[in-house]
Amino acid sequence: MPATLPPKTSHTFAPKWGRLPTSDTPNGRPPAGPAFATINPPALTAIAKFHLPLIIVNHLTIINSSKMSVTVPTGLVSHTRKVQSLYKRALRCLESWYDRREVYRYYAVLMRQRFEENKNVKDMRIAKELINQGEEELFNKQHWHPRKFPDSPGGVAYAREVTPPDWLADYWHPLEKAQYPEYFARREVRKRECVKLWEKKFGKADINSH
Amino acid sequence: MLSLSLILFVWSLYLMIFDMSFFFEFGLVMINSSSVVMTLLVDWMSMLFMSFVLFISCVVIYYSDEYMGGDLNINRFISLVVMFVFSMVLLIISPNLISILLGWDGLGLVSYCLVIYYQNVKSYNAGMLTALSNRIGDVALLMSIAWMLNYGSWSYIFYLEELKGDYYMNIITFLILLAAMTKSAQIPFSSWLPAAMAAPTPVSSLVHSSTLVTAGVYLLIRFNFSFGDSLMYFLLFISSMTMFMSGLGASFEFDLKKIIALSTLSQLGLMMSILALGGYKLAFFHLLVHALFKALLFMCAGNVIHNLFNCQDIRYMGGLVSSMPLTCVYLNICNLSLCGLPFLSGFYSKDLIVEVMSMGYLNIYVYFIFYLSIGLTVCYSFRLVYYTCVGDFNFFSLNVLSERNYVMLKGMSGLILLVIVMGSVLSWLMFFYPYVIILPFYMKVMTLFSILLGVFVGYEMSKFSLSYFNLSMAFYKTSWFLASMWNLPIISTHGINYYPVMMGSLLYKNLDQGWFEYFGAQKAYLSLVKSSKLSQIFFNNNIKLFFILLVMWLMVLMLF
Repeated sequence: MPATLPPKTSHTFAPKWGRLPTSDTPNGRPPAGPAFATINPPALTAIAKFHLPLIIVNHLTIINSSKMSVTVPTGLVSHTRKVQSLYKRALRCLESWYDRREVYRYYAVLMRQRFEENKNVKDMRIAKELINQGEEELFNKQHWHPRKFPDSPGGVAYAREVTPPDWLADYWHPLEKAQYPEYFARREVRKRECVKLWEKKFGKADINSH
Repeated sequence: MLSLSLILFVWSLYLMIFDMSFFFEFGLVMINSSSVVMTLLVDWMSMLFMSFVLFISCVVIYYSDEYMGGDLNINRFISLVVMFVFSMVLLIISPNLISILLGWDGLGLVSYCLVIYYQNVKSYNAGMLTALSNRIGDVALLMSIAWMLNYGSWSYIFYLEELKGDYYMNIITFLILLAAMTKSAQIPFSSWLPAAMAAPTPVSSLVHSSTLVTAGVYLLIRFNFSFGDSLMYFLLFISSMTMFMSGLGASFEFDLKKIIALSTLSQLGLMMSILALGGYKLAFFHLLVHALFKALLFMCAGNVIHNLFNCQDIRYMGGLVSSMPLTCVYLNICNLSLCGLPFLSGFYSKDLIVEVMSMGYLNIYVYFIFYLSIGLTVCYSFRLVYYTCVGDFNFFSLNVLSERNYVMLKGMSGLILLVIVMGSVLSWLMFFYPYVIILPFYMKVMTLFSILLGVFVGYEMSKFSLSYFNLSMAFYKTSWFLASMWNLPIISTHGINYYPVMMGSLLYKNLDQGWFEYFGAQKAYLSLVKSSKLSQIFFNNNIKLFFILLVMWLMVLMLF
């Protein structure tokens, strides 16, 4: 257990703590969503208030697609969570370097021991410096082809099936819409109900106030 | 089905080994004396290649019936594959550059549509890389069409031997070489082939192993007679570098399909290099045999991936021999054929190529690269077999690994007999008299020796102790360099695009939207406004103006 402050890490490397960095986004930036989400349809802002409750899956990707040039911290992450995240990512890194399970288990135990040694550090400056050093070491030792699950972000089979967004049905040709009259009639009813619900909750929107 | 047409063509080609070739001409437009004809060339090479292409595509479509069974858009998939086969057939049977261009562009476009079939970000990026790399080749082919106008007709078949050293023919040959280099993913353009593995596996099996990438080699085989010496040296250098680089890359790669893609790249380099040494028949032979076992290898890999729920990382596989025995058998046979195990199909073509190469007068560098690449081929093949079939089980504990997918297995079984047998069959058919090979004993044995060395290195490298020493931090940078294909993907995408795009944005903002607007469009507008204002003054019938004009006219009268 170090009694004094360990030497500072190089200041060129500093993870931006805002969003909790995952192995996919080591600098805390949000991952790029599927390509179609970056297309901002012209009528989105106007009809967004009708459709936001209807869009079950895709609204997250639409919000995430607005990439900011400056990473703004959007949350506070506690020290415990930082340590846990570092530990998990370190284990994943070990997993991609050591293929066989028994070999990996050996090195995972060693890694756990490294974390256990510094478990009882009470000085927060030392603890923070240790985390920064750990992040830097993880960055320097990452694998060029990390072992990811296929369906997770960054994996091979991620987002293979694309569901078109819900507002696309509004752009159908009237002749096409006439093939499914009941569905579209019900859809109009649902849209009106949605608007009423929204306005009850948030008040009437002024179209000039954007 | 397609197999019927295959059988017909195979038999028709056997008749044509009696040295006949047919030209079918269809007159499309005939106006007085100038006519536009469409010519189809039917000779033994095109029929043989077409039969192989049709057979493999037939097997692949049958296979993809089950592989893509759960997909909603399977109609789109099958129609794209059929369009692809059609473009390939058009390319094969055309003796003139225009219809080759139709087939070539069709291949590029349809392969783009197939790569972006799964619509995620990786597929989009891969598709863009594929399409743009192929586009460079399309441009080169268009330019060669333009240069071919000098000769009056686009049927290159008639001109190649006549006009061998001619200046324009040199340009045309260089452009065709460039086109073939992009299509067959040689060194400056080789980053698209591993990236295109984002496509579904049947696409990789058909397109990226047997047909699309061999289109470039086929074009060079057709143009073989017009190569000059310096171009051949250039091609030899490039292709041997490709062979070496992809062999190294495959030894450090962890994605199953990328390993097989790099293996394809290595064999393409081999084909191109023997073509550069003048052996076009050998290149054609290796092309056909390689198409067979590589397609089968991709299909076995697809079976494995399908069972592992889309997992392509070989670190997740191991011990599949007990749960998927037949697939592993096919995988092993294909790998051994690829390595050149004696008397399988790959042996006949590969060994012949190496022996013919050994008989020539070349510098030590070329020999070194050849034997090293053959050793590397074996190295990554055995590494692959170790990781997938033989090693410890690495997949999740809760799994359903079985070989109940009879449709896929039936598809693969169709090819396995051909893989074993076709090498010897083709060598007896294509080469009427055997090549006379006179080599010293150690040269003859060198191939086998490098194969055995590769087996040892590959197997040991992937096992426990040596691989961790290799992959440890001492060799981190080297491993990264070799694994990323000598950084070629980054160089050919980010490297050559970043600076021009930045310059372009600078030019655009400063010049297009800056000075050119100021002096160009806006200035024209402003000067027009000024001159119209001036004419307005005149139109206002200003008395002062008339008096000034009167005085000036009087002055002129006085002076002259």
